[in-house]
Amino acid sequence: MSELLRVENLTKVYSNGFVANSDISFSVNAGEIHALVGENGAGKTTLMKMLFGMEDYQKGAIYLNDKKLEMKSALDAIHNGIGMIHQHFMLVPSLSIAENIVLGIEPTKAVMFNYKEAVRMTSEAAKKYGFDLDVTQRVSDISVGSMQKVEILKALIRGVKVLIMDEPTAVLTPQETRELFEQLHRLQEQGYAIIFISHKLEEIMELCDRVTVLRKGKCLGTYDISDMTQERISNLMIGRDVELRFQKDDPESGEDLLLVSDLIVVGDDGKRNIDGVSFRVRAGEVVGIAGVEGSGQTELAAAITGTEPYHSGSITLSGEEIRGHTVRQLREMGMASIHEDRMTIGASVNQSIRDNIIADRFYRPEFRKFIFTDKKAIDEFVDRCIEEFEIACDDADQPVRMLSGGNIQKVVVAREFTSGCRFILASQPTRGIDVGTTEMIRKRLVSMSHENKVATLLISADLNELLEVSDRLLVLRRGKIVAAFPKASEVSEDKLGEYMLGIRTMTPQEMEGLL
Amino acid sequence: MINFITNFGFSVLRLSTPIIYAALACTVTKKAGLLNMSVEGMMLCAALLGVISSALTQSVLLGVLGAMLAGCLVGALISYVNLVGKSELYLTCIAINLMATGGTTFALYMITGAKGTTFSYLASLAVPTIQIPIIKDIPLLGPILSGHSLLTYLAFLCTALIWWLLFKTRLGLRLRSVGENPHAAESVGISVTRIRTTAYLIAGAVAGLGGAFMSMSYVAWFSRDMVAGRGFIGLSANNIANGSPVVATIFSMLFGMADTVANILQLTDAGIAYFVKMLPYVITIVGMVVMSVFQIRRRKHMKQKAVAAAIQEAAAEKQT
Amino acid sequence: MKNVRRVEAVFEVLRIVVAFLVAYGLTLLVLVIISEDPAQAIYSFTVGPFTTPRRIGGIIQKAVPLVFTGLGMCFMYSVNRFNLSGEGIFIMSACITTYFALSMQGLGLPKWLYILVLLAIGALVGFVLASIPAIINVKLGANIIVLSIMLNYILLYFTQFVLTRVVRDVGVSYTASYEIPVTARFGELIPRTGIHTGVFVALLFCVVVTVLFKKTSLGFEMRTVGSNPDFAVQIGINAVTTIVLAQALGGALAGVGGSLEQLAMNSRFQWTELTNHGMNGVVVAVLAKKRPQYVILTALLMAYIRQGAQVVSSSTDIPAEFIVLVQGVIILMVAAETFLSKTRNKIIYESALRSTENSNAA
Repeated sequence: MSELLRVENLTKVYSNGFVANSDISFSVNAGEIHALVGENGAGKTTLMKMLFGMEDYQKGAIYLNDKKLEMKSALDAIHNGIGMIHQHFMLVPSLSIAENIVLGIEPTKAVMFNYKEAVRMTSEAAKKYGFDLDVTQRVSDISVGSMQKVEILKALIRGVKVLIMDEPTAVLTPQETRELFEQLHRLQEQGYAIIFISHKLEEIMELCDRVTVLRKGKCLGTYDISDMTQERISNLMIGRDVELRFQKDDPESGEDLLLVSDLIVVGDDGKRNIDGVSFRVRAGEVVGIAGVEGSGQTELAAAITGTEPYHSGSITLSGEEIRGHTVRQLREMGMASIHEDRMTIGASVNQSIRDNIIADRFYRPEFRKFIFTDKKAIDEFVDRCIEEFEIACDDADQPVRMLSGGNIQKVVVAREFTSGCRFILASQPTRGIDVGTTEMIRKRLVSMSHENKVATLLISADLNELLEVSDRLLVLRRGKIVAAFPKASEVSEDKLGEYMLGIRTMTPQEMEGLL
Repeated sequence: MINFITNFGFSVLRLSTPIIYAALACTVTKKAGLLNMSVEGMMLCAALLGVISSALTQSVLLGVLGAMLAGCLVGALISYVNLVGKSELYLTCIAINLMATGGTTFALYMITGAKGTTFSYLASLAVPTIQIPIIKDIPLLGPILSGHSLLTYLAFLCTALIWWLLFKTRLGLRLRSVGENPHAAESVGISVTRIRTTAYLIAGAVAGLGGAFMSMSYVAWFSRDMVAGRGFIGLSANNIANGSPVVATIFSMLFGMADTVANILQLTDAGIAYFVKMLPYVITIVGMVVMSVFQIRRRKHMKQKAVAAAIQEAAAEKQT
Repeated sequence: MKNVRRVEAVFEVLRIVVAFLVAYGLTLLVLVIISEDPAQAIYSFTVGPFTTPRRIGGIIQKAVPLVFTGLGMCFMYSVNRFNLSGEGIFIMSACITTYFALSMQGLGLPKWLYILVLLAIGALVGFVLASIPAIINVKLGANIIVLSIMLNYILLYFTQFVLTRVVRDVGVSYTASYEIPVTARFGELIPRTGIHTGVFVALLFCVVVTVLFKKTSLGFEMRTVGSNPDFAVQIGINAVTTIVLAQALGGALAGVGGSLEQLAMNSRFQWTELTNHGMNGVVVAVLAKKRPQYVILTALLMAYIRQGAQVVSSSTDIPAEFIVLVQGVIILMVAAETFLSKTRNKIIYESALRSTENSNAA
């Protein structure tokens, strides 16, 4: 196999001083499916953006067929034969599939756009590569799997030779994943090179020929898959064997703090995002909610925290209905929440660490003197938080955006964990952050529940986390609870996966008394 | 009475013209994903340059072209600062409007020596009015539709042109894709900056025609702040129309009607005249409020219906 | 990381200073080009404002209303709403103040109370008027700039109605109101400079607003809502109330400014067009980076430029409007994120490399 793409010593420093990539070198052959792995924040996305001309770099070079590439934009990358399938699809919803595919290379008649020709071109290409698509459909009406096909077709029709795929299976059903793999193998046989970015090691073992491992912005090397095991790749990625499973006792649960019954939340499109969900969270226990992303977790969290309305059923906190209370009142009643999206909602990244930590309590008497804020009291409190949660920063005045992902999340949990809550909703509390912080957050969640009798609802996409931290487990699928386990420690990942993916479903009778 | 109706109808078309141009100028940039809040400044600059260039060249065509060029230049400045300089659009447009107001007054003063108008200082020209053959003889409709400035007819032609541009051409396809999902457009190599700059230039040209109408048709001179918020009124017509050029034109005519009423009523009492002068602005605000309430109500109603249906369905499922 | 912050902080100030210098330089260039006597024009513009006590006083005099509209815009700007109603409010509150000053003259109020009541009326006018577009904007999502500019035209015509129909003194040959009694007017502080006692009120408001921004709950709420409204809602701040209240307070300040200007500078209400104080307030707030503690400084700066323009226009044939160039260019450059960002990023990059090298060496 001949070398197609080579990367030498790429280095990228962002304008906030964060070194995202340093001295990355690797190569990809024609007809190869090449995995690129690394923990969240290892620099994969930045690397891909540089390969696709979307980010500049301060040092190093990219070669395609031994020709040094000077790419200023995605257009340059496509012209040079590098295409990318983004995690979030780059499609225009109101346009048809054909229009989306030909966007940028539209056939024209005089100055007019030639729609007929576009339909002809695209349906021909779809046939050639074996994609089953009706190109006249509007993109807003098609499934996620089809959208991905449209994306791939978009790249192929432009004659790319290297296809970068950023976690393509994250949004797909198992069947769609299988179909995708077949298609990728077909492209591989035709001499295309595919760079496959994924967290799912078993997929990488099944699909890829070689793997390049990134860690903390550095490249650890490229290995043949045949020489590797999942454990070795995982060790390379994380750098040490982490024994995350920690011991914890069974909970002594107390009274019901959060009671959700027959909850229905309807989306703008009339879809029941939460469809008749009932469960309780008792003081002193951690209830985990598992589910494929988009099963209604976001809507459930928004309803419970009082930021979005719910349409039927009830949610009560310590016996009081959530509807009719402001967010501040709910927080006063003992609610805390770690939002799943820490960069845009969980934290205010342009404000200081201090402002972020006191944002929910600046008005309380202990932080006020007369009608003014008591800076001394606030500083003392914030400094204590910084120390206690080991937030790596210069001082409390530092804007949160300058911190690393893990430290930003520490700021968030410093606020939520010290709020004196009786119920905490933790949504994706450790997504994309370093191992140390992850461990700290998980241990805290458990100890707050078991020792301080806080009721905890944990929503997570990380199965390990759910199995470790939760006492009880619920599975959410398409807005419904489809399984309930009284003891999380006795559930296996495989079994959980089967419920999450809809291979199995519990009957209401089976779940009775477990909710 | 018939006289009154024809006068009224004629005035509506006449006074809607600048608002239509403004609304269309906003529609183009809105489809590309940006509000054009400096259409007022574009029109003001265009009005002045139209007068100057027609006076210098003694050619109506060059006058109008000069006005369009002025609008384009303002558009180019906005796109440079906003897209290349990555500035906040609101602030940029505030600054541009500020500079347009002050700058045209300054230029006016430099030319005429007095801050009032170019009337009797500059021999600027007016765009000719047109008697449409056959139509002008139709009773009632004839006097309303015929005898307008060429620019008035062009405004309606522009509505069709902009519609064609947006929905039938390659540029339109790209423009809409940039407006709807700029990342998608960027990812297939469509330069968002270039498309948006093009949108601003087109908007500038269209707004330029509106400016030309003000100083070369509505009246035949330039006076300070003569656009008097018509750009903003057009902007709100476009806002209400939600990006459709045809609906924007219809709403522009509604606002034009308010202007007409104000013009007719003004003839009476001098003190009351000030209240009448407020009318177009009051009606614009009322229009914005009514349309927003209407849209919000409709959305709420649809949502309520969807919710009710979903809950009913859920109940039915539970039964079985 | 400390380096990065320092570089960022330095560049924040540097951007504004450079923007100002570039704008100022451009203006000088334009002066040279259009003036028949460039040396005289430049001298008038730059040094002119300092040549006589009256001119120096004029700077301070001109700064006073800008302090109010600038502080007002800081409120609007801090919640990211470009509510431009300050322009209309300024003239409106001057007009309403005149009306009440005239109708209360029989009450025999002591001077301080008389003025206080009138300023309060101005504040109330601004508070109510600014909240109209603010409420329509948050409740219905209508564009705040369009709303507030429409409102400005409406207010302008309303004042003209009041001027011609209600308060007009037919005894004078020009269009003006009756004379406001001296007891309701601010007196001269330093003779022959035009500096009036209203300066103290302006200073007081600077302090009060700064404290409000930095030391109160409302200040914190405004900062948070302005910085990240979704975060604010999630954390329990009532974003809608904060956004409306901030704008209403901003309007109140513009209102006080209008009242005070009327009571300090003019014995009669005689404005027949918008005064541009509101729009200049935008420039003042932008230059101050929406921080009230810098408003005095930036208001003085803008006042100095306006005074310079006035000197130029009185000594040459160049109209004072040429300074919109300074104002426009300043806003554009400060608003442009990329202005000077390359240099800043290069410095940050180098310092980051240095520190990684250092840590590698260690």
